[in-house]
Amino acid sequence: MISLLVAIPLLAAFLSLFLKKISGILFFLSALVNLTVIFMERLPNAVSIHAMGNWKPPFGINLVLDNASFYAVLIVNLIFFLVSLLPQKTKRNYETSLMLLMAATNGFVLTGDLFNSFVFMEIITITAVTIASKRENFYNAYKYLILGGVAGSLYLLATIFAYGTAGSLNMAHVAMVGLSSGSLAAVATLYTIGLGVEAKLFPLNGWVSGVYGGNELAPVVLGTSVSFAALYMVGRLFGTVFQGNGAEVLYALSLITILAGEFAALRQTSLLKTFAYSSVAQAGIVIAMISKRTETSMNLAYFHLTNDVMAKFVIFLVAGFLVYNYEDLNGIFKKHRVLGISFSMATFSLVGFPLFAGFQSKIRIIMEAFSSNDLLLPAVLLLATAIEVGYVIRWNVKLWFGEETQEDKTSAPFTVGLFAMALAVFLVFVFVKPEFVLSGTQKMAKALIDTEGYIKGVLFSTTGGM
Amino acid sequence: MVYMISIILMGVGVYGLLTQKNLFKYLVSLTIIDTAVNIFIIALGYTGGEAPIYTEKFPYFSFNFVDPLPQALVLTAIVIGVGVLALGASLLVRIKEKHSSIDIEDLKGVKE
Repeated sequence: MISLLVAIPLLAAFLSLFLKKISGILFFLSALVNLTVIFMERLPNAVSIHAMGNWKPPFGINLVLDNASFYAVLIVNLIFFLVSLLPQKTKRNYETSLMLLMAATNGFVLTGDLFNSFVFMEIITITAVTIASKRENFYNAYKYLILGGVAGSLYLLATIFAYGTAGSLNMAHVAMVGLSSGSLAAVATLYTIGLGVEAKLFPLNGWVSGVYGGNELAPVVLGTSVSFAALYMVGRLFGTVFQGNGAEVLYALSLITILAGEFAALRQTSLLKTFAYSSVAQAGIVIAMISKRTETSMNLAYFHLTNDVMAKFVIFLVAGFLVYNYEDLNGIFKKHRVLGISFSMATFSLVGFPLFAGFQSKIRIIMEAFSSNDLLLPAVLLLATAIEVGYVIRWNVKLWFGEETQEDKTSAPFTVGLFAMALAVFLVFVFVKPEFVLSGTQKMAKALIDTEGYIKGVLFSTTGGM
Repeated sequence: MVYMISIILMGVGVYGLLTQKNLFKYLVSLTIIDTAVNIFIIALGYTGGEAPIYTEKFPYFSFNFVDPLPQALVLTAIVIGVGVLALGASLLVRIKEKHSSIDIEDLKGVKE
């Protein structure tokens, strides 16, 4: 049944080519059906597989639904569902690409096969590039394509190295057989570079500002769902398959990523680009925690990622609406109070102010780092937060209190205001009841570091199959 | 020998990406890298055996087979590479139409 998560959006994307007028409805329906399938397939504490063509693992391709991929696929599809409800103007003519992206992202998260994950990653790159080229943003989309293409080649090379050493492409089988220390270093490095582009790891994040700053749709989709999928895969590969090997390189790169992202964000004068680089920094924090590979650190990594994804959805939604409706943003929130309040709440959550979800994840990350005698991460995190405060306050002051220079009374679409406010309120809810998200991320973390359970679940599974 | 060819090709592709100023040459360099990786994969599967096809002339039990899996993977990788190439080429056409150039020196002022 989990193969429907890939098949339905793929079929809907194909149909939308012939039924252009109802492509928006097809997108909404496929997102809705996917969510229904996910809730129907929920198997607590079990690993369920779908063996393609009834070839049992390690032969053939299989899709794996365990606690980790369940949570990731749930978040990804929730985001696509929200995107499908956005005003038609935002996503016009891009529904087919969005549906393909949904299929590819679901496949990427669910697959238990290294080569299959490469295929889905390439489809993500291709569809993401088409979305990034909206509003004639061709040059930046092209740069992303080239970088994504090179990263894809290196990802493929890593996959084939793993195959050459372990004799298998199945993630569970590779984890069981293990890689020799020599090849492990090469494979881990190549995967780090390959995934680094989608996960926005330094220095592979040069495309971010061009793509995120080019239109209103790309950051809402790529900055949330694709980022979540890529960071999930980092956890799956380095947590489950390589069992923590090669994580030191990730840790070092993540610290540089945090600082590079924050300093770049501070320098930006464009609203979308500021928060594009902010996303880079947040991805760095998540990877730093993943690279520690303890249950608590993994849990906090995905807790922080979930909070960041919610905040970023609001920020990019509001920022996209403003940037493409007004030339001058000074004091714009005086006209759009609902959007303004939501935006401010989301940015405060991003910084980690009390009363918002970001506070819960950041304070827990710092406490966890201290308890493991790691002083470097808290130091970098506090410096990053200080920089974040700088640009968040600067933008809020400009957008709320800047001198208005235009009289335009364009009203925000109802759905944009509704989503922005609902998610912003949810950020407060998560602050009050962090267990609501933590219960999911904890199961996810447990599943990601439980290599033995994953191997048994996939290779000796009694559930699933055709 | 085949490994060497793929490594040299990879080097040529990376050199092209790092030194060229023309966007079309970027795309060509990317294709060269793709080809290098594909050749590497084929070389990995080739262990000096025969083609993995059963016929009466070549009964399967009397030969070492070439590993067929890398060949199957390469077929997929080639298709994906062509997809990326096609998308890149179509974007290049649009870049040329919009900015009248595909040279990165001329495109430096393009809004990021």
